[in-house]
Amino acid sequence: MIKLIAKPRIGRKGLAITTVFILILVAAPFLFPGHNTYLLTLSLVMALFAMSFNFLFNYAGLLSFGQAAYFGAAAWTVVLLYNHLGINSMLILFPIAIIVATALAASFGYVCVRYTEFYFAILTLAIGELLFFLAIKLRWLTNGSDGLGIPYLPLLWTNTMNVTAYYYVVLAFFMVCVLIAWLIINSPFGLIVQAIRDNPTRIESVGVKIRRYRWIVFIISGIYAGIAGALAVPLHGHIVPDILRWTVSGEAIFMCLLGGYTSFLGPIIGAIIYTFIRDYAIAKLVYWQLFLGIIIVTLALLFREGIMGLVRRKIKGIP
Amino acid sequence: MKLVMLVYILNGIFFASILFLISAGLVLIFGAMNILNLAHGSFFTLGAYLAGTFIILSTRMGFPALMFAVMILATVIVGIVGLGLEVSLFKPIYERAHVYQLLLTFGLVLIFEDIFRLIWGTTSYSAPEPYTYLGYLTMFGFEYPVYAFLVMGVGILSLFFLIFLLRKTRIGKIIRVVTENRYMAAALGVDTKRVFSQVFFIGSILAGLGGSITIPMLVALPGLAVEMVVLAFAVIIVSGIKSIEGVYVVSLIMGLLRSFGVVYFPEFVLFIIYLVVIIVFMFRPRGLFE
Repeated sequence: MIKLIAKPRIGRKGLAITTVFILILVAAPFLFPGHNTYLLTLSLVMALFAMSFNFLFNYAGLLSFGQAAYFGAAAWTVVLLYNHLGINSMLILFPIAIIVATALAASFGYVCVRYTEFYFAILTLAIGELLFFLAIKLRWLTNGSDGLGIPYLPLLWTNTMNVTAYYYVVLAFFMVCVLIAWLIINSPFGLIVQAIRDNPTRIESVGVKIRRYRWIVFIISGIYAGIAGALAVPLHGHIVPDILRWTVSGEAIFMCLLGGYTSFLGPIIGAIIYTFIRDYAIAKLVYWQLFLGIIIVTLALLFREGIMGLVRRKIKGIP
Repeated sequence: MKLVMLVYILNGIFFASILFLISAGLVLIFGAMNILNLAHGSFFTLGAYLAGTFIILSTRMGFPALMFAVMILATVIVGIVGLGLEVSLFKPIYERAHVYQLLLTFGLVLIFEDIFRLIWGTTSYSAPEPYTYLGYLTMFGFEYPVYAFLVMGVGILSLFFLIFLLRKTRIGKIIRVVTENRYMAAALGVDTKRVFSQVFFIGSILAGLGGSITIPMLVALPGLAVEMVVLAFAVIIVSGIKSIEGVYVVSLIMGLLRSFGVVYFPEFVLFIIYLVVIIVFMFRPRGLFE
């Protein structure tokens, strides 16, 4: 059956880098206080979102334009539960949101994984657009294109206005998710998935049910997108239907491209850089999509492996 | 049957004609080059914006008769832009994995969308002069815009032109051969790279024509590009890439679905269309007309 028990190998260099990374992240609110802590929190959330995309892209070889559907679904579940049912406890909101996102991913994923490449890409794109369309049309539920918001949610002894406190909550989620992702990718399951990406015909001839593995990856991807979506809500405060669109999916794609999708750390690095650049650039650049598009084209043509790709060329042994 | 049904049917054919123009281009490109050009919708939108600007310019400068000629000019410009992009950006990545093509065209969609915003603004853009110029035709007791008939005519003519091109001309045969098996075609001496450029040019022209023809009756927004490319791809999925007549038939079905849908279940038109696509996709993944 499907084995998730991992025997990961991580060299000394990788271990050292990871430790330094963790230390910096833990100390971050003191190293980069104020607005930067907020940005870092957002980066970690977006890193999870980028990782959700990369599960499908790098490890399964499937390009999904619709990860925002599950990200947005989770976010919307949180705001809907608050606004219509008055629930304001994160302990209830987040798990339900993640379950919703997972259920959606399982259902849509079942159809999507029957197809590859273009058909898969367009199908995922269409699903995102469909949900966006529903979110806009069902005004009685979602308040249409104006969206719904939430106030500060209670968080331990304080509330989510306390950026530092929320940062540590997100960091905890982040570290657990990254660890699990690492375990999954390096387990026999993860290796089979990568084998499916590399040579589907060969692996199928050995008896592997390709569709089932892809479906499970899709679900895992949906779970991560859902976690990211739920965590993102207190950071944005207000959620609009646009969170479901391909443009948001495009951000995940961009973060992975920029950071280097072939590396494990790539999406995380890409997410951090992207979030900080965006915060800076949106204040200065009106035509942000133009800038983004040009970088995507350049990356696709010239720097396929992104930043981590360049780094790994110089320094061996980094995950 | 109520007389108003006739209006709905005409509306359906009208929308189908537009859908056909953009879908036919995408089918040709996808079939021959195995590239999904997400920016195809951007070409359509570019044609619409360009034609709109030219129409407004020509009416303002006092040459309303040029209105129709400039639409052709807009179409040709889109074709040239497409060709330029193909030669400069697409060629290097043909041999690479398909994901790069998708990413590349995705980047282009973003670039185009902001260019539209930059040049033409974010509010809706329209140029109704040719539409008002041609007036209405009174039939069976109601009026219907003549311009719509023009669009339907262009749609049918394009269908015939494409059938003629693909069946009767030498270049059409080469395109079909490359669609069937490009490596074999190359082995037989066909310059596939050149054929790719030609196909891309024709496809872009069709998209540009679709946009130019449409602008007098529909408004242009930057978001039009993605909307159209998803619809066009829906058509391709349902019809398959082997038959251009199939594309027309499916466009008709979609057009009629939309025009009746807008009347009877307006909130869920798009939903119904997607549903049809998903159903066809699940049972006949190669399309209805393979």
